[in-house]
Amino acid sequence: MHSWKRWGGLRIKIIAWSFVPTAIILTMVALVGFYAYQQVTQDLTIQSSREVARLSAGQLAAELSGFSNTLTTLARTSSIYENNPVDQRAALAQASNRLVVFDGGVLILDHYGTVVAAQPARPEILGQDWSNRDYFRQLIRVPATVYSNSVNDGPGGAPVIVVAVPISNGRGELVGLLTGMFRVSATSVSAFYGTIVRLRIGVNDSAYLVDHNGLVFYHTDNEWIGQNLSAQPVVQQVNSGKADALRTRDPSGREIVASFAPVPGTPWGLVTEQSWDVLLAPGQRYFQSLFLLLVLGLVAPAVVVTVGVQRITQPINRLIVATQQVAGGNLGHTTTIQTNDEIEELGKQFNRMSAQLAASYAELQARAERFALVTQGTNDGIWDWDLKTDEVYFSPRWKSMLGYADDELANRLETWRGLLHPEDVEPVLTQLQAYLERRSPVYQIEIRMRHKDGSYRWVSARGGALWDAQGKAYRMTGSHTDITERKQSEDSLRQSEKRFSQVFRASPIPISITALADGRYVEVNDAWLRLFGYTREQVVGASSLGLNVWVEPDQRSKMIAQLQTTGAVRNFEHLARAKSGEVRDVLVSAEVIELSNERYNLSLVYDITERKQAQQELERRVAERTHELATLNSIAAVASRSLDLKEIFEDTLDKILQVMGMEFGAAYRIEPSPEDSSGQSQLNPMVYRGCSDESIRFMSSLPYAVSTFNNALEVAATGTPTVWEIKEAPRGIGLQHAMEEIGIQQVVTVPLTTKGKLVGVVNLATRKSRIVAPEEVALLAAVGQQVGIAVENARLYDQAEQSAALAERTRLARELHDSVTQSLYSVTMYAEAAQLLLTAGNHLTAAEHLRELRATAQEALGEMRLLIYDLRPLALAKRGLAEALHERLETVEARGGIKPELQVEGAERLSLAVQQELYHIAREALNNVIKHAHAQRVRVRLLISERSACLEIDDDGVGFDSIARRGGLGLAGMRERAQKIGGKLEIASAIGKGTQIKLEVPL
Amino acid sequence: MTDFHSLTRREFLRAAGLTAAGAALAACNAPVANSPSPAGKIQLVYRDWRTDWFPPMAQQLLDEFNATHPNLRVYYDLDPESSEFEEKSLADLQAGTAPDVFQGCCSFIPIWAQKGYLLDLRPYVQADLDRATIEDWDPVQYNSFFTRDGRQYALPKYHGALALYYNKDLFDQARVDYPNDSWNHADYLTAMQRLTQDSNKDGKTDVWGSMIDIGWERLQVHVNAWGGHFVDPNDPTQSRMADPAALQALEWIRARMWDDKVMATALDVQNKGTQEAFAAGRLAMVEDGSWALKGILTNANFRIGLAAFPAGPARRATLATTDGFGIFAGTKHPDAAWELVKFLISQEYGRAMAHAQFLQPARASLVDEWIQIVRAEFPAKTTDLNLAAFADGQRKGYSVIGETFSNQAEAQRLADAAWQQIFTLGQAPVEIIKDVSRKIEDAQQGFK
Repeated sequence: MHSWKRWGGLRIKIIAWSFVPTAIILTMVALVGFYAYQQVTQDLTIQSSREVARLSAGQLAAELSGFSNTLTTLARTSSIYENNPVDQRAALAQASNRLVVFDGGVLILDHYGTVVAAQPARPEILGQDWSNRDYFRQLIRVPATVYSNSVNDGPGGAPVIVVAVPISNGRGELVGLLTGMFRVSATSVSAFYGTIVRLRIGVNDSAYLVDHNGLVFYHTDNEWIGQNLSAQPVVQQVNSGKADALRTRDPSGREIVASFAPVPGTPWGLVTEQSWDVLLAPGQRYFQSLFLLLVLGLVAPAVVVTVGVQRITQPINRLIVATQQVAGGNLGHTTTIQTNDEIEELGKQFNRMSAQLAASYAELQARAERFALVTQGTNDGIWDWDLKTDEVYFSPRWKSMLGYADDELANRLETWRGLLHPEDVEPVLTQLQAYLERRSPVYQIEIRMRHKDGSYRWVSARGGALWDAQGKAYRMTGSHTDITERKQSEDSLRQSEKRFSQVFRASPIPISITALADGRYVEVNDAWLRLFGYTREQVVGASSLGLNVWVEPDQRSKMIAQLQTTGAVRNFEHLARAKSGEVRDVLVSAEVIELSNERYNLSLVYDITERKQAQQELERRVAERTHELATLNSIAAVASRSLDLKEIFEDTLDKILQVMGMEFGAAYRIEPSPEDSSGQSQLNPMVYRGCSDESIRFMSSLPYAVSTFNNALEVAATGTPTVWEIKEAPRGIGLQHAMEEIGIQQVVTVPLTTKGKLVGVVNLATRKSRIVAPEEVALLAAVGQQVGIAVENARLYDQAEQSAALAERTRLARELHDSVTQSLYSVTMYAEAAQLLLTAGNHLTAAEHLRELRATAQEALGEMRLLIYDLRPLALAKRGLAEALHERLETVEARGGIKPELQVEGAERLSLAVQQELYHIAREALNNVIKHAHAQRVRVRLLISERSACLEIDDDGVGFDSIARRGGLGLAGMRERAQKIGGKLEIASAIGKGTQIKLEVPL
Repeated sequence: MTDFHSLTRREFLRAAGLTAAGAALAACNAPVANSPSPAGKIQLVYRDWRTDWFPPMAQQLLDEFNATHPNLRVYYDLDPESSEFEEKSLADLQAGTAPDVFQGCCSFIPIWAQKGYLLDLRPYVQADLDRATIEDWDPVQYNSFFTRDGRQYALPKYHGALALYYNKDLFDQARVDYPNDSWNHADYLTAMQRLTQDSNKDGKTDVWGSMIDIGWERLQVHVNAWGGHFVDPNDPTQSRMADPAALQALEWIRARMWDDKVMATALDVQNKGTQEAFAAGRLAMVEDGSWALKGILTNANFRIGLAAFPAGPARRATLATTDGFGIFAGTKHPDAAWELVKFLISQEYGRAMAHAQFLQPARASLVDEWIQIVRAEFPAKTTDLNLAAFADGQRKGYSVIGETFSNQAEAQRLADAAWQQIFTLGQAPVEIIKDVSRKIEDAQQGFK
């Protein structure tokens, strides 16, 4: 804001002329009002102070009357008014509690003024004449309550204030006076001062009481007590009986209002002093309010005028601001003025002008923007040539296309000409000249221009000219388009096509290009021609179907469909036919390519014919080998499962006849000849197929060495089967003849060996001789070894069975000798003895022997039953351990008079071997019960869980000392069997406590 | 228009605000600059009982206080007499001419507090008194100085408790066992009957079994012993005076005075107080407090005994007095008055009262010293005197304080009139209390 606007503006001028006179008038009125208010306040304050002093004096008098009443009450008692000093003193003493308020004491004066009694006692003044006391004289004159000035009548002459009341007798005659004294300047205990202080006179400033002599006996500041202020005007006035208030100054010079009033009924005056400022303090607030009103009286009009003026000047200022906005380029800026006067109309006109300016400018700007947008949008460089001045406008894009900033190239025609490629100068000038002379309808040419970095850029230049009336061009405008990339792409494409053609032709992989639409060959390479046996001339132009290449034409349709769907095919296998008619397995990978807007099939062909053949041969050989192994496994399974040699031989013979495709076969076991003590062996036919019984008997009669074409030792040593033709058979023994009779042409002898020893032979024969493959020979050799082992196992099993039978017979013999034989011997002895005793007539002893005989016979019977049971074959495999134990207990123990109990859970989970061992241990334990325990009951528990088997056997028999007896009773055998199956055997027994056996076997 | 309004409003408010602030500043500054300061010392008035012994003690102590507080001058106000203390003080309070500091007790100091005449001391207590000082006072007594709305209007002056004084000589003559702590009212009555005597056989009783000072708290103790109350403990506007327990207790006292005539009335002992009548040998027992101890010890010429107050049918109860110091709410110098109160509640002042009149100190820490003071002055009479009887209620937790209505002044006025008819004059049955109780409740209207 300019200073002239602040101080010389329209607003200030209006305010100055309208408000200042008003303010001056208001101030004058306020000053006059304030002066009047101050005068009234002072008058009221002084009047108020005077009244307060008067009222306070009256209140003090009323309070003091309480003291005089106390004295008056006492004075009216007979002991006082009967004027007997002795009684009076006693009465005072008795009333001492009530009189204690008179701290200066209480005296009684008779009507002559003589002191006659005192409380507290003051003997020194008794009898003194106090008739000269003012209070005495006053009371004599007027018999009523008298308050004295400060007098020195107190104890020890101390200054006191005296309150005196008359003592009148029953007839109303004055007989004396009763005085109470208050000490002046009492220190702490004082009813008099307490009463004054309680009235709170002058508590806000100061107050004092003076007697008629001007002596101060009370002051709010104790320091003043005792001072004489009789010279003070206010004291003189109050002692003259006036009650008033004066505005004056205290001794310190402070302006005060001194109010004074006489205390009614006393010679005293009460003076209060209050600070003038304090008194006016409430009035100050009113003055402040007045001042506030004055300020508001000035401010409010100022505000109103300011606001009013602002309502006028503000629209003008707003118009000025709007004008500044438009001048500053903010065209179209408007302002809102609603004053319903000329200013509002001025504003409307301004807004209209501003709008028109804005519209014109907007149109101009739109044109410029369109030109700029065209220039930017085309991405072309624009040039504008004034042919009269040769000045050329080159757009920034025109320059940046060549790597220059806008200010780096001068806008002259020479600039353009200097940047042309030397080879293009002449062609472009020629065409330009032709166009300007209107010999050519257009100016359009592709030229090269030098870039700032020294390279050349291809530019497509176009332009149009304006001609004057004389047909002379005066202005020409055009554009430059950068076509460098397009030119480079065209060059690259040509190079790429050349490289592809070289690769195509040189590739060892057969490649063909066929039209996707009709399968017509467009091009094939040399590898393709070699694969199919055609010449290029025969192929190009022909279709694949026409050349009958596809053995299965449907396959082509399938491949083409896939190719058109996905654009590519990988490893499509089909059969292709060569020119020679040979069919080849081929694998095709194809891709759709586009050449000259037409779609082609580029196929790479792999010949996989030989690979397929090799694969088929491999599969055949694997199948054969698998069959052979299956046969061998089948034979081995039978051989290992069975101990039955006949079953083994039958199974083996059947399978190898089937495998070898032969019609005759016989299996022999080599055994020592019973007739030959030299150990010469012979063939024992076990099984045969296709052969007659006669031929088998014939073969069996031959020494086995002969039957194996005299190469028995060789066969035994190598274990290798031998293939021989019938014509090679030993002659002279009828063998050859026998075979020829049934048409046998070829024989294969398979030795059965184990551990290098020949244990049998299998002969295979056929009427049709053929070559036996080495794989077949190997198979037969393996079969021979498997069966040989089976033969040896069977032999060893037979041998073991014979040994077991021998051992069992030995055991039976021992058992019979140890038990039954002994019992029968005893029976014989008892029988003989009984016979002798009966003969001798000793019947009692004979009867005793017969009872023993019966018992012994029963014992022998039990042992026999046990032996017979043990002789029975054990068939655990069929019936199981539980059934075997049950049968044992029912057969032996129950019949022997012992009550058996059996509990079995889960025995079916046990293997046969474990069942056998458990059974034998149980049997041994039960045998001991039968033989030695003399038990009434035996309990067998067999509990099988997933982890263990537990066998428990306990009886209630006589027991034995298990600690002392570590062996015998078959216990060692039981432990041995337990260890064999990994079990733990525990035996517990005591004399008379039965026996408990527990076996636990982990599973 | 929008611009005009916002601009002018801001400008207007700114101008108006500056103007108002200037005016307010001028208004504030004016009185401060011209404020006068009080001239001279601050003068205070202190009022306490005007007994024979108190002024000399106060004189000495206040002289010391004035000497140690040069800016204060305290005047002990001897007016009014003790008998007019309550009435005159109330008049001064109403007139605004009450002393700055005064003592109060009994049922009237709560009344003054209820009327708002007493300054709330809590700010001063919180600022100046430590926890140890407060805990040195009996909590029952300390807590009695709070109005129901929580204002604290006084602090303990001394600790007074009722006990049973008895005349050992009279007991021995009548061959009656001395009272003990297991006594109940039945024992009390039996003893009174045996001790009441007409010695000269003139048809008038010479020695009375016991005497009670007819007053609000003294009667209330017996009502409490019967399990009753004067005031509903949960609602100070509700009277319990007509409850059976209260009526039974009052009837028991009335019957002793007027039926059995074993308990003296004031008229029976020529309007003497309980203390004087007992000291004169007219009573075998008397229900009185520790404040009477020195008077009795001084004036009695017989062997004295002390026992805990007898138990009533429902419980045992004794009175803990509520004498305390308060400050007039209209004082012009509250801070100076508080300085004086602090001096009055000091150990020094308590110790002085114990020496002067055997007043049991309010501070527990001075009790042992108090006992020594008593025994030192009256070694013969206190040899086997059970001074601990005064502390029995406090120690065993059966002390009670005076119950007060919301409008206690009117309640007490109504009750006093009834007491006089029933007990002092024997002219009305106890049943009149029922009507009095209703009137008292009516008088509570508008009081909380």
